[in-house]
Amino acid sequence: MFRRSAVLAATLAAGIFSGSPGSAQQSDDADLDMALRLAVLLQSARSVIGAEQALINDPAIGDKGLSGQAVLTRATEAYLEKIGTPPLSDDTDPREAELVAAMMASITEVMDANAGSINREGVAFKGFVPAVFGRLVTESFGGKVGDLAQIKVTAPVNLVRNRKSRPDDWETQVIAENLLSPDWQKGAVYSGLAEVSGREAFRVMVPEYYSEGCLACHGSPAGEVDVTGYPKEGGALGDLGGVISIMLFR
Amino acid sequence: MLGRVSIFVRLAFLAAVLLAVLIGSNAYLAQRLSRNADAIAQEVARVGELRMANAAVTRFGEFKYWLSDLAVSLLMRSENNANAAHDALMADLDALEPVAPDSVALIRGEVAALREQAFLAVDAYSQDQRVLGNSLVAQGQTHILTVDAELTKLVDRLEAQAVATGRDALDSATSARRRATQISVLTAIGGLALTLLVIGSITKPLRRVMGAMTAITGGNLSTVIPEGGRDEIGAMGRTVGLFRDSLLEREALAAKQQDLMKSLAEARDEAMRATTAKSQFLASMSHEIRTPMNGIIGMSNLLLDTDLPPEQADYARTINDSAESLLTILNDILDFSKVEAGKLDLERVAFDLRECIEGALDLVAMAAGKKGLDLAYVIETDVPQRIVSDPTRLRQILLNLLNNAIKFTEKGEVILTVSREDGAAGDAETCTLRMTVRDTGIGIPPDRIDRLFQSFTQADASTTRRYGGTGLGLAISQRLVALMGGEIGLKSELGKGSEFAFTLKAPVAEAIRAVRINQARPDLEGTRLLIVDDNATNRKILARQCEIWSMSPTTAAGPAEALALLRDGQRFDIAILDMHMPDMDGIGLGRAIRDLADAKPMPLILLSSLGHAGDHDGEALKAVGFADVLAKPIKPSALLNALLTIALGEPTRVLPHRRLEKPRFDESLATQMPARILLADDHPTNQKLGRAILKRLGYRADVAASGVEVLEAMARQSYDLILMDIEMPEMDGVEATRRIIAAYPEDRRPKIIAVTANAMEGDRERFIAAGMSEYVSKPIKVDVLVRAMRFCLGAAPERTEGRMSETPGELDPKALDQLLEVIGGDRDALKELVQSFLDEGPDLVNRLRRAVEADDADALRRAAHTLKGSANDFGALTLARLCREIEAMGRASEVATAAGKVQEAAQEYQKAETGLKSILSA
Repeated sequence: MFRRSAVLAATLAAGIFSGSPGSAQQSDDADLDMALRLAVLLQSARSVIGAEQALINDPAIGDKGLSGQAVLTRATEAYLEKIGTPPLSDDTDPREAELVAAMMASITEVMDANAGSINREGVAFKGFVPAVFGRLVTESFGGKVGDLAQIKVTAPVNLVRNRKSRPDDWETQVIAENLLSPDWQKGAVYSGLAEVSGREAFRVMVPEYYSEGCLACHGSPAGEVDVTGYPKEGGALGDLGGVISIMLFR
Repeated sequence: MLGRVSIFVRLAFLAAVLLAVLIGSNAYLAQRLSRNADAIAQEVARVGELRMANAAVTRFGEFKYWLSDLAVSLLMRSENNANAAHDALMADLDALEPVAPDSVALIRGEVAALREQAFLAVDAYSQDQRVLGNSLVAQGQTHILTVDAELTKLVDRLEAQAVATGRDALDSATSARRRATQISVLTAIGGLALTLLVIGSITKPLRRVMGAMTAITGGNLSTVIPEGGRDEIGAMGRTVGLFRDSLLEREALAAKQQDLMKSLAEARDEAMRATTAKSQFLASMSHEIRTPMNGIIGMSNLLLDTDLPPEQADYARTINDSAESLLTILNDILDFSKVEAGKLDLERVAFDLRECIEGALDLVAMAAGKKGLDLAYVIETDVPQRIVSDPTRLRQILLNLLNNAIKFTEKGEVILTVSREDGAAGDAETCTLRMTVRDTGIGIPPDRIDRLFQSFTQADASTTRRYGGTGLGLAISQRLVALMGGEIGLKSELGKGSEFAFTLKAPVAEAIRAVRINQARPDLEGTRLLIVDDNATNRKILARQCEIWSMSPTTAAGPAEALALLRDGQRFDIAILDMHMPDMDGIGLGRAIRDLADAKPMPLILLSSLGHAGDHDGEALKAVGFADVLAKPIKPSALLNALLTIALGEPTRVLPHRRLEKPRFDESLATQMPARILLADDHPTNQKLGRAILKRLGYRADVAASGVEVLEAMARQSYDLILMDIEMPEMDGVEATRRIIAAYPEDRRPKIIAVTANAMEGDRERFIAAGMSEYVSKPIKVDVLVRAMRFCLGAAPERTEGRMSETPGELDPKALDQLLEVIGGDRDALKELVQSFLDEGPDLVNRLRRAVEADDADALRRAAHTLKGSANDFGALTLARLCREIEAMGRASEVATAAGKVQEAAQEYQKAETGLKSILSA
C-alpha cells in the first residue's frame, strides 16, 4: 500500500478499490503496482506528444527532432520525476522488466515509423494526436508481449471514436457500474481478476478525466466537427473521458 | 300557347326552369370535381410511393457509403451512420411493402446479407486482417448490384404508375373543365332562349297594344287592336279597344258638334248679317224718310205761320200733327233697332233723381190733367238724392210707363212710387231702386202679359185701333231696363188696373246739397192740417209728407166728411183741398168752408191738375181766397213753400218752385217770342224730349239728326234758332255751326244754342268761339232752356222789335223779369239779389284791372267769367258781351289786348249800376 500510495499519489487523486478480496492478496498488490507503473510510463510518453502538438502541426518545419530515442528519453525523465525511480533498472523484477522494455521499444518504434508523417512540410494538422499515439503504442506493445500482458486505452462506449478501442463486456460493466457511479471517488483505480480470451488475468482500470487540453476536440458544442473531422462529444472539464485498461495474465 | 297563361305563371315557369338548370349543372359539376379530387388523391398516393422508393434508393446509397467509410476509417461514427441508414431503409421498405411485396422481400434479404458481409469485413480490418477484409468487401458487391437493380426497377415502375395516375387525373380535370364549359354554354344558351321566349311572349303583344295605343292617341282611330290572349295583355288590349271605340264615338260626336257649331256659326253670321243689314236699312231708311218728313213738318209749320182760312189752317195742322206722329213712330223704330243691334250706349252721369222724375212727370202732367186723372208720386225717404246712371234713358222709361198708364186709364189715378229695393241692406255706394207705376185703367188679361214686352205687340189688335201707338214703348223700356241692370215686371187685373214696376241698380252719387225736403220742420211742428181728397193714395202721400215735417194731418175723403169734421168743432190751422172731387170740387168746398163761421179765416191751399180747363177760372179762385194753388202731381218742395208761407205769415221759399200762375212751361212763350226752331239731335229720345219740351212752350220744332241734315234744313227754309247737339254723326254741332257762320250773313243766320251732355269746363267757351250764342247742358232743364232762348231770341232784333227798348249800356228789363220769375216773383228777394250784385260788382271790375296789370291770364278769365254770369242775370247785356270777350282773351293769354276791353267793361258796369240802383229805389 505504501508504494502504491507513494507511487500514485501525484497521478491519482483517489484510493484503490479492489473488486476481488481473496487469498492472493499479496500477488494482486504487486500486479496492481506494476500495472500502475506501466500506465504511468504510457502517460508520460503520451504527454510528450501532447506537449509538442504545435510543433508537430507546424507546416513550415521539416525535421521536428522528435525521434523515437528523443521521445523515449523525455518520457523516461517524466516517469522518473513522477515515480522517483527509473522505469528499468537492475533491481527490476524480470517480468516487469520485460514488459517495460517492450513498452519502451514500442514507443521508439511508433515514433520512428511515423517520422515521415510528423516531419511532412506543407501540411498543418497531421492527425498525430496523443490518443492515436497511445493506441499505436499499445497495439505495438500487444504485438511484443501479448501473451504476458495487454494494455488498451478505452472509454465509455459512447465516447469511443475508433472501433479498435471499444471496451469489452467486463470493461463496459466496470465503467458503467463503478467508474461512472456518482459514489465513485474521483481518480480511484479499479482492479480485479477476470477472464480474458479464456485466460485468467488481473485487470486494472485507471480512469482519465478531461483536462483543458482535451476539450478542444471533445468539448462543446456537441456535434460540432473538431479539427480531426469528427463530431465533438460535448464533454466538460473533469468528466470521465477515458480508461487505461491493463490486463496481466496469470 | 304562352298567351293562354298569365304573365305571373310565365315568369314563375321561367324562374323555375332556370333554377332547376342551375341546380342540376351545379350537382353534375360537383360530382365531376369529386371524381377529379379522387384522381388527384390517387396521383398523390402514387407520387408518395415513388418518393418512398426514391428515399429507399437514397438510404441504400447512404448505407453503402458508411459501410465503405467504416471499412477504411473503422470509426464508430461511420458504423453508427451505417446502422442509422439501414434502419431508415428498413422503414422505407416497410412502407413500400404493400406496393411491391416481392421486391421488398428480395431487397431485405440482399441488404441483410450485405450487412453481414460488410461487418465481417470491418471486423477483419479491425483485427488488421486486411486481405480477409478486402475479400469480404468484394463479395458484398454482388448484393449491392442486386439491390440497386431491384430498387431501380421499383422506382421505374412506381414512376410509371405515378405518371399514369397523374395523366388520368389531368385528363379527368380537363374533361371536367370541358364539360363544365359545355354545360355553362348550353345553360346560358338555353336560359337565354327560354328567357327571350317568355319575355317575347310578354313584350311582343304588349308592343302591339302599345303601338295601337300610340296610333290611337296619335289620332288614327282605324287602328286594328291586336287579338289578345287570355292573359293580362289580352285584357289590356280589350280595354284599349273599348277606349278606341269610345274615342270613335266621341270623334263622331265631335264631328257632329263641329258641324252643328259650323251651321250655328253660319246661322249666327247670317243673322248678324241680317241684323247689320236691318240696322243699315233702318238707318238709311230713317234718314231717307226723315229728310222728307222734316220737309213736311217744316213746310206745314211755315204754312201755319201764314194767314190761312180756318179750314185750311185745320188741314195744315192735321198734316203737321200726322207728320209728327209719323216722326215719333219712326224714332221709336230707330230707337228700338239701335237697342236690338246693341248700339245703344248708356251714359253714366250723376244726376238728381227727383229732378229727373219730376221732369218726366211734368211732361205727362198735362195729358193726365186733361183726362181728369190724379197723377201723384212718392219718393221714399231712403232713396238717394243723386245716382249715377243715364237720366235720359230713365226718363224715357218713366215716360213710356206713365204715358201708357195715362193712355189706358179713363178715370182714377196714376201713381209713381220710387223706393229703395235693397233697403237697409244696401250699402252707401250702390243702390237698387224700384220704380212702380200703378194705374186704375183697363188692365191687361193674364194671357197677354207675357207678350206685352215683345216688340210691336199690344194687348190685342183692338187696343191698337183704339189707343194707337207702335207697341214699341214697352219693348224698348224692357231692353233699357235690362241694359241698366234691372228687371221690369207687370201685375194686372183686368178692369181694375195695372202695375208696372222695374228695378234699377246704380251707384249712389254724392249729394250736392243737403236734403232739406225730408226733415222735421220746427216752424211747422204741431200745425193741424186738414187734407181733403177723394183719392186715398193722394191723401196718404200728403199725410205722410206732412208728418215728416212734424205736422198733425187729418184726412177727409170728401167735402162732406171735411165739412162734418169742421162742424163738429174740430179746428185746423191749414186745409188742403183737392180740386177734382165728385159731388163738390175744391172751389165749392172752399166756398162752403168760408161759410162756416169758425173756419172762415183758415188758410186754404188748392190742388189742381194742369191742363184742366176749370183750373184756370181765376175769378172763382179769387172769390174764395186761396192762399196758394199747387199743381198736381204735388211736389214736396212746392207744398213746403206754400205751408211755410202760411205758417210764418210771409213769403217763404225753401226751394225754387213753380206756381200755377207762372207755370214752368210757359205756353205763351211762343206767342211772346215767336220763332222757327230747328232741333238737331241724332238721338231719337232726345229729339222726342226736346220736341215735347218745345211743344209745351208752344213751339213746333223741326228736327235734324246730324250736322248735314241741319245744313239741308237750312237750305230749305230759314230758322230763328237752332238747338244744336254737339255730338252727332257725320258732322258734329261745332262743325255745322262753323259752316252756318261761314255760309250765312249775320242778319240771316239763326241763333244757335249748344246742347250737350258731359260738358267739360271750357266747352262753353269753345262753343261760343265757334259762333254759338248760348249753351244748355243735357238733360235739358226747362227753365235753363227758356232763359237761353230768351237771351238769344231777345237779342234778335227782328224778333224783339217793339218789345225791347234796349240800348247799349242800359238794362234789359226782360232779364230782370226772368230773374224775378226764377226766384218766384219775390221782388224783395230780387232787390236783395241786385244789392248783392252791386256789392260784389266793383270788386270784380277791380279784379279785372288787377289781372291786366299783373298780366295774370287765369285771374282775368275767372273774374270775367263771374262778372259775365251776373251781368247776364241782371240784363246788362253789353257788359256781359264785353266780359265774354275778355274771358276768351284770358283763355288765349292775350291779356295785353284785353286792357281796352276791361276799361270798356268798367264803364259799362257803371251804367248798369246806375240802372239797377234806380230799380232798387223804385
